[in-house]
Formats: sequence, C-alpha cells, structure tokens
Amino acid sequence: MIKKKICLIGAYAVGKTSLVRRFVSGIFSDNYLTTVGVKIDQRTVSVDDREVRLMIWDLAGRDEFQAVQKSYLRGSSAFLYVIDGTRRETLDAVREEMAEIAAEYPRMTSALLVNKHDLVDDWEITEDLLAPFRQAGFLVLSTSAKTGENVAEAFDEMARRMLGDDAGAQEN
Amino acid sequence: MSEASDSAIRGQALNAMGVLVLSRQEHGEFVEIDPVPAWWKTVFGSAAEFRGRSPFLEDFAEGAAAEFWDSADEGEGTLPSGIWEETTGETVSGRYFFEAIAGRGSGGESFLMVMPADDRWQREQGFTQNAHDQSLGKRRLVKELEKKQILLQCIMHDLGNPLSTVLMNLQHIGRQLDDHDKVLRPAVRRAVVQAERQRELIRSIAQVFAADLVGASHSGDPGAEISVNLMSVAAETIAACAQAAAERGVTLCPFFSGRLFVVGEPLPLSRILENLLINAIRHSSQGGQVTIAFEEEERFAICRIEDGGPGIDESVIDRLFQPFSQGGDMPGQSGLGLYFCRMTIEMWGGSIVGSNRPEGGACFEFRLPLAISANASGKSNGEAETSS
Ligand SMILES: Nc1nc2c(ncn2[C@@H]2O[C@H](COP(=O)(O)OP(=O)(O)OP(=O)(O)O)[C@@H](O)[C@H]2O)c(=O)[nH]1
Ligand SMILES: [Mg+2]
Repeated sequence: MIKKKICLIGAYAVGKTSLVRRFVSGIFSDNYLTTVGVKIDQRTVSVDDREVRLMIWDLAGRDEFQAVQKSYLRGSSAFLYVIDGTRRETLDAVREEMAEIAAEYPRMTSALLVNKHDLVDDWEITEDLLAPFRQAGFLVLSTSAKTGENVAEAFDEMARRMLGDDAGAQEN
Repeated sequence: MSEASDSAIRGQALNAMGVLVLSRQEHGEFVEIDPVPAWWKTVFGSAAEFRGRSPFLEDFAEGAAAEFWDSADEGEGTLPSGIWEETTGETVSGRYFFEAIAGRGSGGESFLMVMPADDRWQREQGFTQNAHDQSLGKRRLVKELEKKQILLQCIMHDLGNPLSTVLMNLQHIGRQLDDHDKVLRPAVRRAVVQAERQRELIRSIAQVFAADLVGASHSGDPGAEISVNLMSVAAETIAACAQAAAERGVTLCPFFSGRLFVVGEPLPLSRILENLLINAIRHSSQGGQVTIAFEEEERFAICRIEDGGPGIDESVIDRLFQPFSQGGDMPGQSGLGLYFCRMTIEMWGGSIVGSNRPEGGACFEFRLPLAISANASGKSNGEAETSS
C-alpha cells in the first residue's frame, strides 16, 4: 500500500491534535492537553480506486519557547498548516513558519486549515487575510474539530493532491 | 579490568536505567545487546519487528539517524530523537513516551539507544501546559476588556454625540428667544439643565467603566474619602422631579432631617435618586403619594423611597438589579437604571434592596456609609457643589 507522511504545523492550541483525533477516532474533547513530543496516527483513505495510508504526524505547537523541530519534516508528502480562527496571531506565527519551511521544501503540497469554525462569531481571521494563500496554491479550508466540518474533506483532498504530484510515493 | 567485566558493568548500568541498546550492523540491520528490558518486547517486539510497530522509530532509524551514522565526519557523537508517544493498541490501553539516541563510538561503531521517557514527558508537559494556559488566559482577559471598551465607545459616541447636538440647538433657540417670553424661556432652560445632567451622567458612567477597565476595584481610598451631603442632593433632586410628579398627579412627600454626609459623589447620587423617584412616580396612580425618608443606623445612612402603586412583580424581584431586567412592560426604559444604581452604590460601599410593602406598593431602600470625617467636621466639597 502507498504510505504518505503528512505533518500538522501550527501555533499551540490551534487544534492540531483535535483535528487528528476527529479524523482518526471521530471524537472531540474540550479539554486542552498540550502536545509534548510527537505522535503518529494512521488512517487509510481511498482516492478513486487507490488506497493510501496517511501517516499523520501531530507535532508540538510552536510557542514563545520553541519552533517546530525541522528534522521531523523530512520525508513528508504534505504539510497541513493549522491556525485558530479566533486568534489572529496564529496566522502570523504560521506565516513565519512557512517562510522558513518553504526555503527547504519548495512546492510541497500544502493546505491552510482555519480551525474552530464553530466559533465563527469570535473569528478574527477574515477572507482578505486568506486570499494570498489561495493565490499561492494552498488549499484553504475552514474546519471545526468540534463539529467535524471539513475535517475528512481536508485529509481526503490532501491525499488526492499527493497522489497527483506522485513524485515520491513509497510503495510498500 | 578485563573487557568482559567492563561490558558487564555497562550492561548492568544500562539495565538499571531501563535503556535498550541496538547495535547497527554493516547493512543497516540491528541486533539487540543484552540485557533487553521487558517493555521493548511489549511495545516494539524485536530488532526485526520494531519498524512495523513504530513508525516514529522507523523514521528516525532510517532517516535522521542513518544520515548521522553514515555522515563523512568521523568520531564520537550522539543525536537525540526527541520524545515521542506510542500507544500499544490491543493489549494495554496506555500512553507510553520514549526517546531514542543515535550514537557513534570512537571505533566507528553505530548504535541506537531507546529508553522510556514518561518522567521527562510529565515534567515537560506540566511546564508547557502551564505556560500555554497562562498565555491563553491572559489573552481571554484582554479580549473581554476590549469588548467593554467597545461598549464604552458606544455609550460615549451613540449617546453622547446626539446629546451635544441637542444641547447646542437648545442654546441656540434660547439665544433667539425674546427676554420676556415667559413660557418658552423657562422651558428651554429646563431642557438645557436636563441635557447637561445627562451629559454629566454619561461622563460618570464612562468613569465607572474606565475604572473597571484598568482593573481598579474602586472601593475608595480611605485617605481621600469622597463625601456628599445626601440631604441637599435629595432636596435638589426632588425639586427637579416635582414637575414630572405634578404631571401625573402624584405628590412627593420628603421627610428631611439635618445634614447627612455619606460616601459618594453628588452627580451619580443625584442620578440614583432620580432613577428611584421617577420609577416610583411612574408606578403611582393619579392622586398617589411617594414618600422619601431618611434615617441613620450605626455607621450607615438609609434612604427609603416608597410608593402606593401595584408593587414589584414577584417574577422579577430577584433580578431587579441585573442589567436589562425590566420590571414589566414599561416602554422606553433601557433596563440599566437599577443596574447603574446598584453598581454605583456598591462602589461606594453601600447596598440597595427592593421589596413590596405589606400595605401595598413598592419600597426601594439604599444605604451608604456615613462619611466620618465630613460628618465630624461638618465640611464637604459635595455640599458646595450641590447647593450651588
Ligand atoms: N470550539 C472549538 N474548540 C476547538 C476546536 N479544535 C480544538 N479546540 C479546542 O482548542 C484547544 C486546543 O486544541 P488542541 O487540539 O489540543 O490544540 P493543538 O494545536 O494540538 O495544541 P498544542 O498541542 O499545544 O500545539 C482544546 O481545548 C480543544 O478542545 C474546534 O474546532 N472548535
Ligand atoms: Mg497538540
């Protein structure tokens, strides 16, 4: 089966772990337990008639004290950048991260997930802030780990795009 | 010491620390070095199986670590993997944390150490959680204050600006009127006075909010006590409400006593009294009476305003002093009047209650701390302001 490594990148508490849990186990919790270290979850999706096993790397969120450890990104086929729609600064943080990462991984299949869409009344992220990412070829989606909105869609679409690029598929 | 006993000691030491050591062979395969800890078999299986069981360890061993082992620069060194989490699916539903270190010996040998990292995870998780919770908490607070700030802007802008226009126009009309116009001139003057009071009130609400915004729980600095003569403010306010009472055929019956200095400020105090009086007048029927009585009790002054109307609806009596709780179907009221009264009175260290009188009608009673210094010396800046 084809295996693809996909990394979630973004500031702390934006909902990376919650999105993975929603996608892999179908559950959500309001409790916040910040991730320390790495956890890999797997789920197989089908694209047309092909099955792909997604190896989803949930990385510790970037904060004032630490950036994302770049060595974890090697071998990835896609990056999922996640921001919190209710916290504008998480977009700035991800922008910085992107600039650094893009130097080493140009043209990586990437998506920007604007999470916590269930709290849309409190959103600080507006469409005009997102337009540049769409123009740069990102898949931009509003998601909610709480309601499940666009969560499976995001992973499915990433799988489709990764198979589309198919430069580095590892057949196992 | 022999080489054999050397390695035996090393083995014992690693065992005591719960470390597993894999030796990397020429073609990249691994061999376990004795002793092998029990968790290795449970979680990772064996040197041949671990890749299938742990995607992270596989990634490390084949990726960053392999590059490190094969890199041209010779010599001793280590490369840590960082902490990762394993869940042993079927058997034990627990979370386990591990850390690996790729190492290169002086003789060019390559090895991989794997060890449990639950304690380290616990420490780092606690520390990081704390930091994140604190920043998120601080952020929430700032956002809440921002909302209040917006509300404050609304008060200033949406209430204040139209009022300024009203005032300007009233003053303009006043100037145009004939000096001998006996009907309109007094009416315009009354309107100007009311509009000016309103503007002052907006300012003082803004101050209450502003104090709230900087987090100053304003209970008054005892060194700089603010005081006001409750009696003279009440006399003025009652006079100002006389017109409204007369229009509804209601009589105001004040029972004044001597001077009564309390903690407070003239303008908000006058607004509190006006709120309570207008309420009482509105709820009275034609020919009714509103009494205003004063009393001293221990270190407090009490003011009681009673009417003979239908009384307070039992269903709202509990949230009478909450914002936007309107007592019945009175149109044109913001629902903030009694809330404002409570906030201001409590800010001065007093209290307010509303109840129904046994003989019918409503009773509102507030108490304010006596201003000790002013009562003793009989002097207050409030008196000068209110009696002018
Ligand atoms: N309302 C709402 N809350 C969410 C959503 N996603 C996550 N949360 C909450 O946001 C908090 C952080 O979620 P996590 O998934 O732990 O965030 P993270 O990005 O993994 O955080 P780190 O591990 O610290 O980097 C938790 O309290 C979640 O319950 C969402 O879509 N809607
Ligand atoms: Mg997380």
